[in-house]
Order: sequence, then C-alpha cells, then structure tokens
Amino acid sequence: MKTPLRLRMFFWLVALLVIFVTLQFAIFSIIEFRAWLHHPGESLRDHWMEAVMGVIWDLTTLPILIATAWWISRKMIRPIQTITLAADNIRSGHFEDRISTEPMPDDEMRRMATTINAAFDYYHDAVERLRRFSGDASHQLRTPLAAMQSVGEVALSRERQPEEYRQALANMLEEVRRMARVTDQLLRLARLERTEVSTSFVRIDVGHVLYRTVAIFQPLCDEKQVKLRLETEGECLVLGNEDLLVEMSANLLDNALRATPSGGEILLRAEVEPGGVVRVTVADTGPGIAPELAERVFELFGQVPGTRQTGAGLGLAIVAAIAKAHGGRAELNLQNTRGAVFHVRLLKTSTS
Amino acid sequence: MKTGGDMHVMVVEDDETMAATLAKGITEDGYRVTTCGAVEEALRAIDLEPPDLILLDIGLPDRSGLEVLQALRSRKSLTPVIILTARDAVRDRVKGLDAGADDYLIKPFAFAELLARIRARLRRPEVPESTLLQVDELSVDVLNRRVTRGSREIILTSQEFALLRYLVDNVGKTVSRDMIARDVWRIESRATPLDNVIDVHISHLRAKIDRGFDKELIQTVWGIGFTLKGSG
Repeated sequence: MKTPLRLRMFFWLVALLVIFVTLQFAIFSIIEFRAWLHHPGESLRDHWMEAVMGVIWDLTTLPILIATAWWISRKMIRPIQTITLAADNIRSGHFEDRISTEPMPDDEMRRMATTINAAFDYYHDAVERLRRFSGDASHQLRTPLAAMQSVGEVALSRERQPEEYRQALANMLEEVRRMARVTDQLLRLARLERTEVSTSFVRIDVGHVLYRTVAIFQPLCDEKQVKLRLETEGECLVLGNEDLLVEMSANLLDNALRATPSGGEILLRAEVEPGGVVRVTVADTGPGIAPELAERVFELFGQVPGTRQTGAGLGLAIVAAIAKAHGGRAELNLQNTRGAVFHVRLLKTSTS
Repeated sequence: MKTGGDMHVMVVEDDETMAATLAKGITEDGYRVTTCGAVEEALRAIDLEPPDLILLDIGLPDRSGLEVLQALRSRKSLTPVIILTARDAVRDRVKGLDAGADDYLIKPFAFAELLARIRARLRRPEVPESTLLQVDELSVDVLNRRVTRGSREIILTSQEFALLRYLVDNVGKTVSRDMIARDVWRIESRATPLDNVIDVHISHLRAKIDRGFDKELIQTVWGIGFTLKGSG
C-alpha cells in the first residue's frame, strides 16, 4: 500500500477546501470590482483588500475544516478496516467469528458486510459438514474393522477347538458384510452426486416399482409379523431409472421395517397429486420421529438417536439423493402423530 | 493386594461382536470381565460393583460414553479409564483426555496393545528396574549394551539392541508390529509403512540370537506379532 485510502480521502477533502477558498476569493474579487465600478471615487486597493480579508477570515477556519476532513476520512474507512480485521481473524482459524455489523449504519457498507458474513456462514457450514462426514465415515468403517481385528487376534492367541475357529470366522464375515454395505452405500451416494443419471431415464410405473419392492421384502415382513399394504391410485408414471427407484423404495421400506414392532403395519402408496406430481408414501406404525429431528433424518449418518439402529444412517440419505436425481424431493410428514410417514414427490410424465 | 485374576475390568461397548470379543480376550489374559452396552446400564453397574478398570466406547446408543467418565470423575473416583473409539480427530482426543481418561486407543487396535495398556494401568508397584535382564541363558546388560547367550557373546546394532530389549521387557507377552513401531521406532502413525522394516530386523535378530541353539527364543505369533519366550 503506497498511500492508504484514508490519506487519499483526506487529500481529496483538503483539495476540495483549497478549490473552495480559491473560488471564493475569485467571487469576492468580482463582487468588490463591481462595487468599485459603481463607486468609481473609492480606492480600488481598498476594495481589493476587502476581498483579501474575506479570504483570510476563511483561512482562520481552515484548521477546523482540516480536522473535520481528517475525522470524516476516518469515519468512512472504519467499516473497511473492521471487515479486513474480521476476515483476517477468520482466516487465522477463528472460523466462528463474523464481521460485526451492529455499529454500522444501514448503508452499502453494512450490506457488503452482511453479504460477506453470509458467504462465510455458507462455507463454514460446508466445511463443517465435510468434517462431520469424514469423521462419521471413518467411524462407520473402523468399527467393523476393529471387530474383525479383535476377533481374529483373540482367536489366534491360543489353541482352540475347531468350533471356536468357525465361530470367529463367521463373526469376521459378518463384519465384512457390514463394511461392504457401508462402502457400497457411500459409493452410491458419491456417484449420485457426481454423475448425471437422467441420461438413462425411461418411462416407469411407480406402482410397479413399489410392487417389486414389496415382493423383495414380503418374506422379511412375514417373519417379523408386520403387515404390508400396497395401494396405487391413478396413472403413476414418471421418467426415471427403475433400479434406482426400487433402491429408493427399498431403503424407505427397510427403514420403516426397522421401526415397526411385530404386529404393526406398513403402508406403501403411490398416487397422482394435482399439479403433475406422483406422490409415494411409506407409513409405518412405529414410534415415529420427533419434529425437531426431521431436519436431520435425510442427512448423511443422520441416525435417529435412541432407536439403536443397526444401519449406518445412510439409507435415508440415499432416498433423498435418488429423489433429487429424479428432480423430486423426499420429506418427512410432520402432521402425522402416529408412526413415521415419508413422502417422495416425483414429476409425473404423460402416457404417450 | 489383588492378583490379576481378581482384577475386575468393565467393558462399556454397544457393538455386540466387539463386546463379546473384548470380554473373551481379556478374560483369557487373566482378568474378570463384565460388559454393558449403554450409559445408564454402565452407571448402575459401576455403583453396584466398582471395577478396577473401565474400557469405554464413546459412541453409545443412549448418550455419549464421555458421560460415564464425567459421572465417575465428579464422584472423585480414580478408576483408570481407557477410551476405545473409532474417532481420531485431535479435538475428540483432547475432549476425552480432558474429561479425565487415562488412555485413548483408536479402533482398530492390536489386541496385544490393548492388553499391554491394561497391564500398564493396573500395574502394581514393581521391583526397581534391573540393569541385567535374563531370559533363560540369554542375558542383556542394559548399561553396557552387552548381550550374551550362554557363553557366546552377541554383537547387535543399536536398532537390534533396542528391539531385543523391548522383547525382553515384554517377555512372555505378545507384541504387535504396531506396538514395536511406536515404542521402538517412535512412529505413531499407522500410515507409515514399517511392517517390512520390522520383519527384517526381527529376522536379523533371530539369526544372531537363535541360530545354533535348540530352543528358539523369538517366536512368531501368527497374524498377531512376536513374542520372546523363555522356558520358565
């Protein structure tokens, strides 16, 4: 910085003053000259002195004016300094700090500070999410790894009966499957985020998708004694990828089945809503989800606490990602008081 | 004074496979083990029968495992607590140690390492460290760095000597490559590829210590690590 902004501003203000005084002297001189023309008997020199005196009086106020200029320049620059200091502070690791907009008047500077703050909020949030994600992901992968290592090492630490070795191997394989599942889910999410799936879209009957899903889960529901009901209403046609849509409804159904106690019921429903929307509903008779957790359920690893789930908390994130890839939206119905009700809204397409 | 078999280790871990395996492995090392899977359950169990040491998982289904630790420390209990967790961010570690944990082990860990840490936390007052260590007819003079087996003098490099000394210090116990990397090479990060380096040093050491003798002192524990075993 060769000349700071404040000094430049100060010079401009002083230059303004100098121009003002010079112009005033010129005006005084013209007025006095005209007065002399009207009274030619008077001395021109006296009139000239009048003009000079006027400017001298002006100049006595100059220190006050310059001080004011100095003060004004400081006041104008202050918000910029505040913003720079705050940004420096944030960059040096105080990520929660923000520019304090309180002392600023409601003007362009304040708007700029507010905008910068919003940008900081956005990126801070993104970085936090990423940090949480890598922490959660490593946790989900290390937990089965830890179990595998311990099971193997304890098994090998002494001579054992064949049955014990078999048990240890079975336990390790169980953990391998768990890890493979989390890895697949993470890969699926990464791919949905990265690639444009809509190139493979064809016309699909959502009712058929739900039917396929029910067929897959029926034996599991029978075993758990949970009743499965399937309803379709209207022509539920969408443009989409059938495998992905089955995966989506399977995740919703899997989630519902975990929450539903034996003897409960799960409803799968596809219907056409006004406005060209196909709505998929999955409703269970489990304990439901508290409204304050509604935000989190679709997040990565956003497990509902207290439910002691066996999953990694990725299923509903996949549901949301698949819905989004189809230009739709997954949501939790908060009006419902009994059980959890999930909706996915997809864009309807025509028959032809 | 309690002996190893009376020492009560409580495992607080919600993952069933993990809890069962921890219980099995630690029991086989000569401790009495109880397990619980949630914070409430653990607090009740601690009241009922205070353990000598607690292995604490942080991610429990009802609340954070740190609450067990905080409850314990607020009652002025000095029971050693070793945190077992899959979270290794520095801030998680600091949080755990701040809350009063004695040790912090990141999953996955070598079981031998866990057992070593448990021993370290439950260690009874020991006899002053001797400068002459003896395993069968192998003797290691720590001060003069002289190693003899029987009447034969063995010349070791300083790295081999450090490794041998570590094995002798842990005589009869299995040490993993991770433990050797950390305690002999002073390298904490598992991302550093040291396994082959350690294997080479072990084989050199073996060639010098065991070649020409009937009994092999340095033994490989398949899939786990190494152990130095005397006949005693």
